[in-house]
Amino acid sequence: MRNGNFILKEGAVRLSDDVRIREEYFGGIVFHRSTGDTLEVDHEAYKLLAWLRKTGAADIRALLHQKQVRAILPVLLTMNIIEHLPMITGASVCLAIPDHVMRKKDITFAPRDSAHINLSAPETVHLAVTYRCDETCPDCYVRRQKPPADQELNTVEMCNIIDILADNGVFQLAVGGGEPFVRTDICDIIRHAAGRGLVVHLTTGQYVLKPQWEDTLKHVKSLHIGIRSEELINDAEHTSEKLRVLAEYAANAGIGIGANIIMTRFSIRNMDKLVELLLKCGYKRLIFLRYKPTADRGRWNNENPDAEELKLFKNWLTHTKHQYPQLMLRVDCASAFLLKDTNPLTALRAGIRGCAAGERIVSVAPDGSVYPCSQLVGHVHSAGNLTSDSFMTIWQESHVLNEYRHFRQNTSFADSVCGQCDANSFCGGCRVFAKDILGSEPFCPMAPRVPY
Amino acid sequence: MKILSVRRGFASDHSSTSYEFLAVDKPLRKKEQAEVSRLSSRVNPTTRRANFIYHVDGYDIPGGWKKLMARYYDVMYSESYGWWMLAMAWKAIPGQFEELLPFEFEGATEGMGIDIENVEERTIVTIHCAVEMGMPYSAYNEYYDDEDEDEECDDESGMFATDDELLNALIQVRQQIIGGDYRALYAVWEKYGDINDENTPPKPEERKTGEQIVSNFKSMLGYIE
Repeated sequence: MRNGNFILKEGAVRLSDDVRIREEYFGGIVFHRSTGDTLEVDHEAYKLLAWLRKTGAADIRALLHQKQVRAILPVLLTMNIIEHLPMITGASVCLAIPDHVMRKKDITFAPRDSAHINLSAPETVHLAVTYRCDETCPDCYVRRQKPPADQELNTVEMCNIIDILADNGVFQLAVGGGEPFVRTDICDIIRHAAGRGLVVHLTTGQYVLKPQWEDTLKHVKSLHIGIRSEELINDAEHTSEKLRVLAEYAANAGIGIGANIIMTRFSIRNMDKLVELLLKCGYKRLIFLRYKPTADRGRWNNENPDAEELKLFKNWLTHTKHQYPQLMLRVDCASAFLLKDTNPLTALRAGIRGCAAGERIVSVAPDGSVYPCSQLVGHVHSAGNLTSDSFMTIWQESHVLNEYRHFRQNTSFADSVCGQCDANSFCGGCRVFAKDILGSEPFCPMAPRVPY
Repeated sequence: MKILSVRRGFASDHSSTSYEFLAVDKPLRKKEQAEVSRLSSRVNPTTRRANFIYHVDGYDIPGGWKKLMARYYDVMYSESYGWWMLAMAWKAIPGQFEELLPFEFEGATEGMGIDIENVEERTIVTIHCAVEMGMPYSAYNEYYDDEDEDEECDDESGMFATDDELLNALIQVRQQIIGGDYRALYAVWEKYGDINDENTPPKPEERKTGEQIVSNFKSMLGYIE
């Protein structure tokens, strides 16, 4: 057995302390808190990992003795899900895998989106800690939603919500807003979340960090900067300098940093320049976000790229990837159609899901309300409120969440162009743009993939 | 016992390179499977198939994919951010490599074209292209479908077939090329070739058989605009 340059024949293995495992209807989810790697494994593999966690350490020969284990062990070792311990002194090491761990479970696997089957909890929760913001970004979607700014949970209440999420097995917390830094208690909230074992990501529009935030940011795994494209293009010198200092701080602090760019017509027209500037500032991870409807409908109509422009943007992505191999270019779930020519086999194995609203993610608003995603808010999309309803009741029984997580099975969708498209298992379009919320994506620039 | 999916890093999105290899002429023996396994901990080959996925830019199959084609596999496709490679390998009869060389070209579109080369004892034809959307790659629709050994079988015509339409197309084209029928390669030139290029490949003679294979294959080829 090879692990890097080592041939493993002896010693022991253990489940990494950084790994969290969660049992699911198909087997289990394995999440590595340091790398962010997420694996889905079948029942047998999950049982093995759960046994390893319980056992502490197992003799590698006991694992290598089993053909099925040998098949997955190299991947688990390479991804540091399992750690190799060459020398064990004074530790208790299990010498054989019990029969019940290796016994194949008699289960017929259900398709991914069968009705009434869902994960035990979301993987990631988007927590809007506030809807307030001092900026007046014209392309912000929050003001469209006209959220009440006076219904914000206080520090204790917000930490209670975080406790509920952590207790229910959520892996990651994506903190955003509004502008999170307008909350004077944001540091307490982030520290509390990290202390509860959640991996915390933070999205901000602040280009200049206050010194008092820096201690808190050490608890953040990644920082996502909302780029105001027009400001960066029109005032390149000053804005670049601020962004450069920010990227330098993040690099020194060991925090991952990425630039969120909204795909407006202006951004797309100036994308080469934006990339050049951001690369110079030290941003290698660029995340392109679909332009969601804003409060200013006229501006949105003018700036929302049409299908042809999105298609050109897709081609731009392909060329830019070749031009700048060091760049990590990403698109958000609302733009999954840009990946439509991905090999479905690759998509499935790489865990690409398209819209995962109510299935793998949910959004929690500043007042504790739960929504399928941060774009689908307001009374009609409310699944409940964590200050008054139990998390499990919301997650398992909410009609709203069930409707979104199984949208691919809804007749409106199944009969639509998206429903007939061969890529619907890993795309499906964005529900924010879809007709009647559950129908087809009207802006998809790609022809539907039909049986050959 | 299986790993069903692997999503790398803190991302819900996609950046990866994938390879799908298939042994057509003969399955891999256990020793050969073990040799492929040793190349990378990311692969778990069956007797016929091997799939590699690299999620981190800059990582690739140690020693390169051509080594696998030279020794074990007969057809392969690879996709990376919309750019595709379709490859076929076999032990060519004397003189065939020279016959194939005129079909090598660099396309009018940068990155598209055909490479012909001998690696170890085999000839490898590599088509650099885009694959048209609407082309299904696999019947792998059920998320929890079992993917155990040797799902491949002979189809109605007696030709070896898999559950992957793109691999099936490559199997058919490879069979034509081995038999001296180069219409599919000419079709690639018609799609991507530079009409101003003085080194135009010779137009293969028309044949009654296999026309559907060529036209299906050509219809799969797309453009990166």
